[in-house]
Amino acid sequence: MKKILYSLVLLLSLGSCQKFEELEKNPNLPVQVPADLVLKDILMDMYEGTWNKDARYNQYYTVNYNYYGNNEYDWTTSDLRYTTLKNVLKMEEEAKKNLSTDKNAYAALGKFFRAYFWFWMTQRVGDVPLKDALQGEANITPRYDTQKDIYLQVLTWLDEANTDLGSLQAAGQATLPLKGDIYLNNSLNSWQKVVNAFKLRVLINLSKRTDDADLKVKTRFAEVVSNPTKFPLFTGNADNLQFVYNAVYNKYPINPDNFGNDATRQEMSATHVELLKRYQDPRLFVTAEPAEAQLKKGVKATDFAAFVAPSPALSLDVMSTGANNGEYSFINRNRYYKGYTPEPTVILGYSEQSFNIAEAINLGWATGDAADYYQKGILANMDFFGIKNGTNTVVFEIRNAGVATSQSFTISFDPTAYLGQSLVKYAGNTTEGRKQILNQKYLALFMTSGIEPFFNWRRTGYPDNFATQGAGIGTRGIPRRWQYPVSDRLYNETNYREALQRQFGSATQDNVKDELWMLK
Amino acid sequence: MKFDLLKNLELQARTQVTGYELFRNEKMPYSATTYGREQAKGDYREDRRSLLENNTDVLLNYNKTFAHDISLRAVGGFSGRFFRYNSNYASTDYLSVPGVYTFDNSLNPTRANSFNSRMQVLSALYSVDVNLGRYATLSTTGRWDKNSTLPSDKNVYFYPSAGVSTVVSDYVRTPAAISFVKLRASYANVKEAFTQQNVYTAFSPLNGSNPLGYGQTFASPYEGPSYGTTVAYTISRPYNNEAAASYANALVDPNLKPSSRTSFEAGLDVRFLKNRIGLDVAYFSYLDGPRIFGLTLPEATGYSSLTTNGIKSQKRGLEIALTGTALKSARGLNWDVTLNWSTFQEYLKEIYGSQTRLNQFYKVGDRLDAYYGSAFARTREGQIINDANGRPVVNPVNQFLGYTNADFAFGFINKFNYRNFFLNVQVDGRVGGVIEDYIQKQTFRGGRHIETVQGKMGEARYQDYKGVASWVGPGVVLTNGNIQYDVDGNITNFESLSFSPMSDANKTYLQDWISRYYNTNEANMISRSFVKLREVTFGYQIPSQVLQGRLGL
Repeated sequence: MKKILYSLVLLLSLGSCQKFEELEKNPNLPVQVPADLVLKDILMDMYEGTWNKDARYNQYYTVNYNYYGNNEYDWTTSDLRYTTLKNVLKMEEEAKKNLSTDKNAYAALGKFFRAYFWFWMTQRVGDVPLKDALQGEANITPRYDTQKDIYLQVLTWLDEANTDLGSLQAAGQATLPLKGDIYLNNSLNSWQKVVNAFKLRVLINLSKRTDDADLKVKTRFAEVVSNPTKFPLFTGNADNLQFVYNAVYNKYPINPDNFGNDATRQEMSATHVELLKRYQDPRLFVTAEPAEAQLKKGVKATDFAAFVAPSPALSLDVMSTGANNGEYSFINRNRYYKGYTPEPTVILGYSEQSFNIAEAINLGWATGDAADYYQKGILANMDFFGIKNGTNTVVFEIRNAGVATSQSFTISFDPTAYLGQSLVKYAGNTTEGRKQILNQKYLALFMTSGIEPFFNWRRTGYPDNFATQGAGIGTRGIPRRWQYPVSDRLYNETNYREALQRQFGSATQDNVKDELWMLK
Repeated sequence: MKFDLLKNLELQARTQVTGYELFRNEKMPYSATTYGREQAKGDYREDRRSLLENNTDVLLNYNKTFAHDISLRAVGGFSGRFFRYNSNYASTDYLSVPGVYTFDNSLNPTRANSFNSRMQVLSALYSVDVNLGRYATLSTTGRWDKNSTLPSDKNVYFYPSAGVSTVVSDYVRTPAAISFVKLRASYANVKEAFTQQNVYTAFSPLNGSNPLGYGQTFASPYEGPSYGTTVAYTISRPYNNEAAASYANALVDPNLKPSSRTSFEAGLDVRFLKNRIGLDVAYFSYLDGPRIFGLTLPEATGYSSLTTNGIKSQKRGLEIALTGTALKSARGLNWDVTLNWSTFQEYLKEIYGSQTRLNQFYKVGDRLDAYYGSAFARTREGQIINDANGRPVVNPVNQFLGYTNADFAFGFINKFNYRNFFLNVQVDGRVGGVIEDYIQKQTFRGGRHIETVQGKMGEARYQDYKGVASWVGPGVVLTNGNIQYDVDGNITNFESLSFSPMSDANKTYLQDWISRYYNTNEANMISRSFVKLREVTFGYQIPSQVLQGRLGL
């Protein structure tokens, strides 16, 4: 009888506290959260890492060890960013609840995020759903919008975000009301600069579509550059939108933890190193190390000739043999492998903005001194790498009798002399000048800005020494776009085929070699 | 507790409590490392789980026997399942002082997760068994569940079962050679929704992976709610240990029904020549579905899937057992033989609405054990295409590489005895099916496979060591054009590609070729067929009279 009593007590304790209907709900997850928590997640999605495959597509470094990867352009389908965009909607929804108004800073940032992620997607695959998108079950076969319509909408959102952020500040609001910003200290002014700097990135990416009467690429660009009051822009590296690492939770992707595994299985890439050598550029000494074989030949460690890197087009077996023989420059181990926070990873930076304006002036879209912006872009990046006017100390790991030791060397940097070199001195608003701008932009974007360096090459063909053919690239050469996700073909087939037909002239070919509308 | 209410009628009530308390801790010593924990400063972690479940039922039993051996047994009643689970997991993030395994000793802030759940199922059930004397037995059951894992307006569902068996030879005169004939058939339906068999460490149901990126997740029995109807935020700590939230990627169909599995089985048992030869044939068919599944949505909806009802698959199988006594002699040699043969396959019957593919590859009518994996690009004639460096080109889309299930399985069991000696020999096996040889793949890639030091490969490996590229793999080399593939991985531009036989110009280092070649699934597929000598037993049985009266027997 006692047992029965116990059981009944247990039974009651198990069954009584909650209503049956309540039990369906997961007690471990919230259905409502403050908007700043969602913001943080969206901001994390803007960060794309570095020293990854994207950085190899940008030809900034190479891997020589087949077991862990290669340098091929072997991509197929692209990811999309709609789940992030759904979080943007949720953030706006929560912000409206938290702040009891939809005219708030989260809504303004929401417009920027829409622009940012739709641009991200269309740059990769082409047409994507926009008007029909993000409706959940209400529309599970959304139609695709044309790339042109997407760019138009992106530009509209950016204008609205700029206006909204401006009016909030005019009304006395300087920061995000709930905080949550991991990049810009919740400053609305900083975000407004990001919005406009990003607009310049979008517009310069449309350089092949300046003829379009609706996009009005040139006019829009000139409007931003000529009116800094209405369109505040970055004024220095301090304004950069960048991911700052910490030593415990968010370590730089290459660090002492993976040093043993990676440091000699990866090395620099000729595309980057040869360009630095061509311009006698001290950034070489900061990012790379002299090749052992060159030092053995008696070449000085701070001689540009000591730096040799394989082209990503090189067959991997040849590359690994070369690496084993010490023929190549490794990634500068002192800078990148000694700690967990060697440098922040820029998502959108002042240097890029400077080069974008320089290119636009070069192309005659806006008035101004292209050389000035070009030089600002270069010097800001020298500054990013800690290279200052005068004497600089650089450190290399140098192997002697099988033991590597850190050795310091001094180099001197004179900005005037650097900028005065015949190959660096701005050649004027000519093709040569544009090449200089884009080559320098490539150097300044080293290991930052996602896959923007690749997009620059795809759009302009610069840097001029970008490797395009060879065994290391892969049998299909360098693709021009990504395929749509497999789920589009399987679960939204009619619209998917219609979009393919409209863009590339065949409803059945989703080909990575086809050209996007923006590049035609 | 049992109470006899009336003659033939009995009331039964019972309650039972089961559960477990689980405590599992791990001590990672200072200076030991694992991937990603190169600072090697040790860790301490605890995994605590507590499960408590109560099942209570009240049943009314009715038993009645009629004339001619006809009898009836009926049971009806209610039952309740009350379930509660609490768990938490905590880990240090490195230790401050070596050898002190406490959370207070954590170098960086500790990481902790919890997962708690509750569930109730209230049921009404019945079963009726009718024994029709020597003609047949019939049975049927039925059950209504009200399950807390489903939305409150749709949480009641019913599922029945029925069975019949009859010994035909009991009431039909059969030819003398046939000594026994029995037929049986059964049908059952089971419904279920949003429970899962096992539960893992507390972080798993929510964020999926260990907050520190290493350590085993340990499964323990659960049978509790999986909360599949929840569409909510997930909290994570992606930046500097600060909380962030992201919204669910799976939507839930508001008209969701429980998943259903219907099984049908039929069997025939015939024995011949006074039971000396027996044949047992069983056929079964499981109709699985409509299931609860995640319908993939185009990502443009903002979601990756919709949890809804769909997908039907059918598993069909046949089992045949032939038993016989080949030799029978009271003082001589006896030999009993059993031969088994069985097969089953699962086919996709239906997907969802107008969907034509399941998981990218499966079409209606396909076997669900079809295996798709990485494979080589091949010419129209089927030759491997190599790049200019003599390494095979891998198709960007996974290709069909075979079926993983066997075509059939068999067994051959022999029992011999002669007087007090006996010998049992059992052979069984399976025929058909493929599997990837992972050991082969990794030993080749790591340069540890025996073949890499023998024959042609051994020679090429020596050349590798000397820095000479000497290996020429099979296939042809692509000499002109860029390969283009369609979405299924078929090459679409053969007319603009040209190939030539592999030559000395395509020599490569063996290890680089191996890294490419054996990194595909295709190069490592092997047959799963086997025949196994399962058992040989030889023995002597001590006659019982020898021991009788001794050893206290």
